[in-house]
Amino acid sequence: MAFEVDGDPSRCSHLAAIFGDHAERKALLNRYEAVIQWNASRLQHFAYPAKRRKIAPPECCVCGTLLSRAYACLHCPAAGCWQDGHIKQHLQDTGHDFCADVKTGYVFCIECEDFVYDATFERRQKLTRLAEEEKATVFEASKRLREPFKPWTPDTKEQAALEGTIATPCQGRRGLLNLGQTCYMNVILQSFIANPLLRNYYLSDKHNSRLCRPQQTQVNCTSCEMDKLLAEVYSENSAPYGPVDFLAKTWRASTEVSGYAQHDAHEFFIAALNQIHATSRGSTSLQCICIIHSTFAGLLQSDVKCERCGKVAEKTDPMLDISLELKGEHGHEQDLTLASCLRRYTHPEKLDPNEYSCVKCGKTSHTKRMSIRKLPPVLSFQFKRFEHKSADRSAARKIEAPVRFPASLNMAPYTTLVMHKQELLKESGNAPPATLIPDKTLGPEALYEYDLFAVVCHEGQIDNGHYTCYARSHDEWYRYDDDKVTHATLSACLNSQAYMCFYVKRHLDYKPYMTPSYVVTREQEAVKEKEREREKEKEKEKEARMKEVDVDEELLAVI
Amino acid sequence: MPSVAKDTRSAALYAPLRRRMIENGDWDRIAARLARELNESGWIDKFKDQSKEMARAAENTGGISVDTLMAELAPQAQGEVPSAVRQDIIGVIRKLLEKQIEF
Repeated sequence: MAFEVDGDPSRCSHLAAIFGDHAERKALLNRYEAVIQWNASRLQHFAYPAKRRKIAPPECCVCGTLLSRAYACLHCPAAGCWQDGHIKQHLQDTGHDFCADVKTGYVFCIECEDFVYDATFERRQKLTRLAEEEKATVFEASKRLREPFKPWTPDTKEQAALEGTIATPCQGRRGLLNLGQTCYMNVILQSFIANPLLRNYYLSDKHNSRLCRPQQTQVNCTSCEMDKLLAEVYSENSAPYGPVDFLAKTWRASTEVSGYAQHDAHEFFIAALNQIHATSRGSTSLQCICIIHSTFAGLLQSDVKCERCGKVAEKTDPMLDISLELKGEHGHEQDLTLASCLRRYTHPEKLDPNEYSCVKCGKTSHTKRMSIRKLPPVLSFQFKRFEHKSADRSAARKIEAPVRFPASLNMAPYTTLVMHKQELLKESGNAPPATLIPDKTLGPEALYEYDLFAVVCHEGQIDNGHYTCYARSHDEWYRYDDDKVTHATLSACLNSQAYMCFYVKRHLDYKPYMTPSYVVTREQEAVKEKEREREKEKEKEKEARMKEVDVDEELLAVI
Repeated sequence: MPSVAKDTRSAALYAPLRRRMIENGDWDRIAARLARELNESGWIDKFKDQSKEMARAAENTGGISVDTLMAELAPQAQGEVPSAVRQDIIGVIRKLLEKQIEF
């Protein structure tokens, strides 16, 4: 999505004709952007009743009904209904070629008699929608708005650098060889490879394994292994790859996942995250900003409320993922969905009276409620399928019940802020809000939206099973069974028996108007380098002068 | 759009009611709620996948237009809306209208 792809050969010929003329292209795109912006702006505000509508929706140019979903002509101000063919009628009557569905941004060509895809439209639409979301985000602390997203355009230096590069043809997908019951590791590595934030970090050379000089204490740099792994995957070689060093380093660092026996993928996941964190830049024990914590770390909040006096004790805990129970109160698991598991997770539960007594009034009847205080950019879920009845692993049972999970997920109802607001509204007697986000300051909704990108599945029994995974590449799903990679469909993925699911935030949010810390350190390093060079120059000059003096003395000695 | 408009009073009320719902934002709020519930029930993912695979299968034979896809899938899609979702949305609409119309 970095460059405008013009001259796309698969583009509809009628669109190509318009795009060929600079003025016509500009007019069409301006109109397109205007109608998308109108709808995007409207959608940010419909959720909150109160003020009057500023702009009423348009009426159909043929039948006059108010349009709940407008299809706008891209050549003139008309709009119409789709269902009864009114907008098509307008296009035929006027000779205009294109109309757009303001909700989805899809463009219809009357000559082709079908919707046509074009990267230019898709890009405009994404940028316009994002701009509206940014405008609609209200901060509590700062009066400034969100920093507007600007697509990257290379400057002259970068342009020159790009021209000198050779593109590597690669798929970005490679199978991983099973090194002896290591499917548990392979599935987690595939989920890391499919993880856009991890992938981008290593591919943009943020941890170069050839330059890395680990300190004496940490010879096993797992972060280097990630760099090597991603370099191997994004290379011309598409044969299956054996992550031998990764395995060796992991074994050395964590005894729980060492040895050739089958291990739990989730255990490996946590162990790998901790190792990469320990060997990455920016790693600290509190408020770490290493790549792992920047990607996976969130905050869980538990509110313990006293039933008698109402005092609430809040406590936050950092987390790297969320583990969800599958067993219901009745002991059987039916119709499990990710949403129902999350609801159960955030449902108030009564605490054992012996456990806790209120600091304020001393009573012992409390309810505890979990919620998510801070959402991480990548949200990982684990379904607790393996019940360990005792310390003896062999006595454990696997819960086979499938859990249905969606391709896209909105986490708003499970977050602390939204839950608190909803409780407040309930207590004050107001009707529960008809919208997902009860308050404008907590929105827009887009901030809570996540898309599925990887699923780890387990088949078989606890000690004798096999791990496979599904991962998404753009909009296509692939199944990874160790070294075998096959094209799959979304429904194959969603119908599988998931053990872990990985979701990534649709739009990243970041601290606005700040220079990234790595840029700051880079500039500081550059200044230091200049200092060092100046010192070296001075040293050289000194030595040169000393040599001259020596030569003079020698000459004098001869004479 | 209304499947039953036998009662002439209902027919006369439909257009102004619909207009008011759209202008209020009620229409969009209910549509958003419906979309959320359909997503949670897996309906959206199912039909997204079905239409995508249908289009993919037709790639070699000249492709398939959106209109054709809609014509083929819409009846099934409408039929497979979970009854719980249907009842919930009807209930929401009913509650809204009860506040606005005198019966």
